[in-house]
Amino acid sequence: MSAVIGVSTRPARPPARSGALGLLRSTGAAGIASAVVIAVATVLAAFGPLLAPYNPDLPSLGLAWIGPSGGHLLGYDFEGRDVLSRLLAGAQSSMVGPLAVVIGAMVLGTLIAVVAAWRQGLTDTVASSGLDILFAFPGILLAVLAAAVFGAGLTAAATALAIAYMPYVARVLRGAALRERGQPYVAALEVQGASGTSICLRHIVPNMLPLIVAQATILFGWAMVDLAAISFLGLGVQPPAPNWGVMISENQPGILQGYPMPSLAAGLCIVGVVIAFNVLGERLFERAQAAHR
Amino acid sequence: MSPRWRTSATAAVLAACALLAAGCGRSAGSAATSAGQISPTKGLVTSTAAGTKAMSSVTWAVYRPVNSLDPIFAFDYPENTAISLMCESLLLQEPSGSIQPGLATVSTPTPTSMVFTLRPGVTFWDGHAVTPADVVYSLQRQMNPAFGGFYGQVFDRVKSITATGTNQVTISLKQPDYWLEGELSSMPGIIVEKSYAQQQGKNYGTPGGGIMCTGPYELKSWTAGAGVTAVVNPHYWNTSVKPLVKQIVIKGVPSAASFTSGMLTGAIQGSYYFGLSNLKQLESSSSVKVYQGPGEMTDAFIVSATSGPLANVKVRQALSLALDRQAIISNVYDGAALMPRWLANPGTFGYGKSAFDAAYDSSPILSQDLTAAKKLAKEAGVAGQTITIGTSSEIASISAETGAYQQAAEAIGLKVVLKSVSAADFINFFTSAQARQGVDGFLTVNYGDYADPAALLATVALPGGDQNYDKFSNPQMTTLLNQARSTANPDQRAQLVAKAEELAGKLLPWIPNVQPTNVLMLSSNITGATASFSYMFAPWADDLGGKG
Amino acid sequence: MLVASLLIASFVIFGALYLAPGNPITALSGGRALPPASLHVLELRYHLNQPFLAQYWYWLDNALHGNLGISITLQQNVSAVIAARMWTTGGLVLYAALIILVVGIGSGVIAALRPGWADTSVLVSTAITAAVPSFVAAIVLILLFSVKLGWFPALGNGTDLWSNVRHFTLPAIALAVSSLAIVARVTRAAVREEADREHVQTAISRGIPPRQLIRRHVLRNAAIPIATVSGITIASLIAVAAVVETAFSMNGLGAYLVQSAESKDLAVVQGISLVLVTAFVLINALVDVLYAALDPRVALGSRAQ
Repeated sequence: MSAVIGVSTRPARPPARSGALGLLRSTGAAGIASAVVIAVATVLAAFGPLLAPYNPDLPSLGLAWIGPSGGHLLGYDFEGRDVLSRLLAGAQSSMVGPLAVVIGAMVLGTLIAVVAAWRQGLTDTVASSGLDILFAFPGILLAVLAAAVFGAGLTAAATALAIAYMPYVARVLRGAALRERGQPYVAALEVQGASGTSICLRHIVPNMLPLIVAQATILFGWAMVDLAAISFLGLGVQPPAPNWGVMISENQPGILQGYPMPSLAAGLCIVGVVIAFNVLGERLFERAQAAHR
Repeated sequence: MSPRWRTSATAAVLAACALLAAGCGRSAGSAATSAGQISPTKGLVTSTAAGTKAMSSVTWAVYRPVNSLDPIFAFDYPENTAISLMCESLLLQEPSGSIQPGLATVSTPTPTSMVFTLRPGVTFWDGHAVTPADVVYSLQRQMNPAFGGFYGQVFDRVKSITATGTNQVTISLKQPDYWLEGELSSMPGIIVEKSYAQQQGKNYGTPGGGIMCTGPYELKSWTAGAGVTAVVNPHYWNTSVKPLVKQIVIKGVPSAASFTSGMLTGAIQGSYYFGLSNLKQLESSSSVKVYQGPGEMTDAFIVSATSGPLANVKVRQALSLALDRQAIISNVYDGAALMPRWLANPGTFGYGKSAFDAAYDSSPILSQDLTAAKKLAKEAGVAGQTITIGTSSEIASISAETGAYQQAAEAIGLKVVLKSVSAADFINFFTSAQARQGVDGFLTVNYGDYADPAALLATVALPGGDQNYDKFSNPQMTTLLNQARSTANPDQRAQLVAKAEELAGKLLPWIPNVQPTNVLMLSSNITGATASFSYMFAPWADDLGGKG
Repeated sequence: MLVASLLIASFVIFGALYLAPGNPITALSGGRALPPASLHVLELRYHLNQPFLAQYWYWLDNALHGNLGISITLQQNVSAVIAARMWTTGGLVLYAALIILVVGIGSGVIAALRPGWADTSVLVSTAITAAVPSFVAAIVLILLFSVKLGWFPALGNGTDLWSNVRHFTLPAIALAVSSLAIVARVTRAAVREEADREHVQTAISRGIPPRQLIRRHVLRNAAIPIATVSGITIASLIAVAAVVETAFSMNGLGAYLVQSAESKDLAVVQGISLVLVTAFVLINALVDVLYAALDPRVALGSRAQ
């Protein structure tokens, strides 16, 4: 699907400069801005709890719902905890979960795509049919099922999502892997006696790297949305642990009472980071596609 | 994408956010909405003006879907609300808390025998007359452990229950039991038809089996999603009662936000929902009228630990002293609760009022005192130890109060771990030892079966009491309560129970949090529901109807 | 392929029972201490003393006949529970699908055919809304249209048809928002690509009226990717509906699925999962058929990405 989204009608850009920085620069101002946002979010995910100005976990019921005031930039949440501190502390679980999903889905998906493309024939047919069948499970549904079976929690949800995303990744990468497979250098290497595994690992996968990175970036955005949704439903990260999805649901009563800030702030964090990943991912995808035209 | 639209886009988004968030959050200066009244009766009403216009259907909300209509399994608000609407007990609890004849009158020829004389002409919905056999069956059903009912214990002084005449049932006791009348005006005393219940067997009281009772409303249908639907019983034995509302639907609405929205839009027309943190929003709405009656509920922290920090009375006292109860009153109840002095809610003084009032007024209010709390905790030497609190993040009031306990625990140096379960599973803490494993305590809004402080206290503080989860046992307490149970004179009984309450305030088998008033919410165009807690045990919709 | 998908999905749903920690009995009772009589009933109903495949067969057979077991928490038939809530979810998904099709495709076409201000605003709004999860959209919508403006009720299902429409509007919009963005962008790209094609340009130069052209050639050919992506996003609505139903406290299948998962009422979770997955697969199959109908060159079942 992202292949179609990535189609744009802008005039062709000059060839991408080599190196990661060059790649980044070639994604344009929007891409760079997104990368900055992502970098900030990563830093927060790593150091959030240390950066929090106040204790994100200790309730203080008498201070509940108080708006922004002296030192508390975003006010207090429904249990009297500082909203900004909770957002900072919550960055960790909000970012680590999607990361795990992406790593899981990408590793599995790449493996299956490359193996299917390399072996072709029966392996490919079986893998493709298998993937088609797995498409029957929307990610959220699988995560809910996992929560019912294994109990609510981030691990179960992330594993379920990784499994649900994997067929999609494999589909997209299979095409690229097939393309690589058909390149002349591969045949040359085979003639020289290189094993299938070494060719795949040393040449095919590295050549697919731009596409893999682009795919991973887009996938991160989806994983973040889905995991936040599952935590919002109460089946992922469990309250009172800080987490952006959880914060939206636990502060939702405030919206009807006239105290929208805690819930809204958490929502904006999610949207901001997801936009960044989407924009950067799409740009990277275009580069990766363009390189093969 | 050109930079121009991107900057304008960002600006637009930020502006939108600012607009949305504008005016949000309450000001730091605004104090707690009410200081938590101490006087129990000021401004509280036990009933509302009777309705005058007929209505076709009223939707009534409870905090979760009804899960049983069998009185032996009714120990929570949704079940009680539904059963009390349709079924009747041997004796009747008036809105004032006094106990009057119900389906029968009672006399006590000797201290160890109670003779119930059935009212003439009382019939079940199917037209069959209520016979002594039905009464004996209903009561034995409650007592029989094979049925697994909740109220077996209230009959532990009963020697035998027999039909002693064409309209008479005699209960003979091993010792005098002056609590039994109160219990028989509540769920334990609900009379069901023997032949119907025997026929349905295990299905009695489930959607598959239905029920057979005598009340002004009868069960029409019961489905998940739709709730319990009751319609007027055209052959009700009490011809002076003519309900104006043809149909009442009792619906489970777990989300407080959803409930508020429903009341404001008129989708829900009435409820006894409590623990609403936005009660003021409903009070200020022109489409809803809020009444507060004397409450019989106690909001408390149940101690279920048999070892660890909370098994030490000093730690419990410290925790109680560190608790910010004012924040609970303003935050969780939006003002509709009182500061406690005892475990019992002063609304439970259904007899011996002067004795109770005197003792109550001379007991200290359980205010916050952090200095004293920390001192006690230091003496107990529990700094750094952990307690586990059972909670449900789905139930907003329980979640917020658990937060208050976290705050108090941290203030005295304890660490807190939460064990959170779903709303539907929270009741398991009460019914399953397995669910309580490893849990040191959990919150409850609890009540006794009738207007008597002893009704709740006995289940908490007597050895073997069915809500005595921490194996609390104190000889003085046991003596006081057992003696009260055998005392005929109401004022003397009240004095004994008052002493027991004072003792419970020191030993804290449960930690009292606040005493909620009984909140009744009605759409502005209807009136007539009972405003007192007796709705839990006796028909509450007899006078419900539209406003003239 | 359709049947294979359904079979494997049902197998996974059923097999989840055995993945649960502890034995199937513990899983079915949701960790509650049930009396021995009830446990015995569970054993019989699920044929737990028989080999795994036989159990699966009984379960599937029952499911196909409309018997999906009994809910532990509600003591009612799962199929009765599902039937009561099906229309809420169905109505919500339909309403959202309508919004996606009308607004999504509509704005995409407008953006493609009228470059300039219309195009830019569509691009901007879709870039933002594509990243807005349905539950964030939900709280923003509630805040704006319920609390501040009071145009729509915040929560619940509504009672009669008109109040149903009012109650379903905000949830449907929340559900449609991010899918809308994707559909709009794909439509825009597809229509643009068709409009640029040589034969269309030739026809324009020959003086054929543009309206006729748009209808006959541009939209017709662009229909394929548009239909594909619309179908896929609408199918995915079925899962996301659970989130929206929860946010708006609606009495739908998705919300009940979540509650049952939380209270570990496995029979209900399995039953509702089966229904939702079946709906998902059926819609995808319908899209395949539509795709084949629109483009006779494509063989059925091989929808290219």
